[in-house]
Amino acid sequence: MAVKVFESAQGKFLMVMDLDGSVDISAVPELEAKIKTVEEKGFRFLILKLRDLEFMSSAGWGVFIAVKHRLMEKGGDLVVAEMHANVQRVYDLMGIEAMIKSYPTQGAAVADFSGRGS
Amino acid sequence: MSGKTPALKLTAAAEKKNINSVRRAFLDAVKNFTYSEELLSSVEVCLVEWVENIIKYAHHGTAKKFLMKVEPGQGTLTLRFTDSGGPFNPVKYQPPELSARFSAGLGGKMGIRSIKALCASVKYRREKGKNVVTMKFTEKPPGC
Repeated sequence: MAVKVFESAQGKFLMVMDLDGSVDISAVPELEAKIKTVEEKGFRFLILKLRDLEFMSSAGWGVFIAVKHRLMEKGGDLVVAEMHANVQRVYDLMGIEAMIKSYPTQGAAVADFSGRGS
Repeated sequence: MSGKTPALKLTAAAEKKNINSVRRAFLDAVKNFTYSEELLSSVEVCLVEWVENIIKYAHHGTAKKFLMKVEPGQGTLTLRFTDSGGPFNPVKYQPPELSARFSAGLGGKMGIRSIKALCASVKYRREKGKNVVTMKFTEKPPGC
């Protein structure tokens, strides 16, 4: 797999997923499956750390947008933190900030979530 | 014909498993050129988006081959793709409005938009039953 995912639970409902590598359509099924497993464990707040994700095509953003939509229906949310510059470029270009919030650090994302019942 | 010598001329099967190796081959081919990280990152995005497009739509996963040429120039870099899939002109394609799709939890339809935003120019021609797409990238002048 071109992307490795490291998970770190922060309480009962918040999971930090650290993505390392690259995401294109070939990595999408496994990435979707990993996120789905986390959701099924009851985590409804996800922070995706993208510092070590050197590349992601729009297929990856499509996964994040779908997951976020699903989580919001359950009162949860998905945000990204510490984005790699290469990934940030497409995020800015496509206006994804209107849908998925970005934080400069994991700590800032956790702090924001802590006030939202996570 | 551009007349330039390609730094890379690569033929690959239009399969998902090949995307990463095509991207790596591109990075390896240009490693001795002095392009900015920003330009290389833009090319990577467009390269992958177009190859994904070929896989998803031109060949519908039937694993036909495509040809990619990388032509370096003075402060420019040109990518040229040739595939024998159905006709598709990315220059004429109008991507849908994204905000409504995002709100409905739908991704997708971002690839061609990314390509148009990141390339200095995109050209298309249909030649002998093949799609030929040429993407040109330029370094931004200082201060832009």
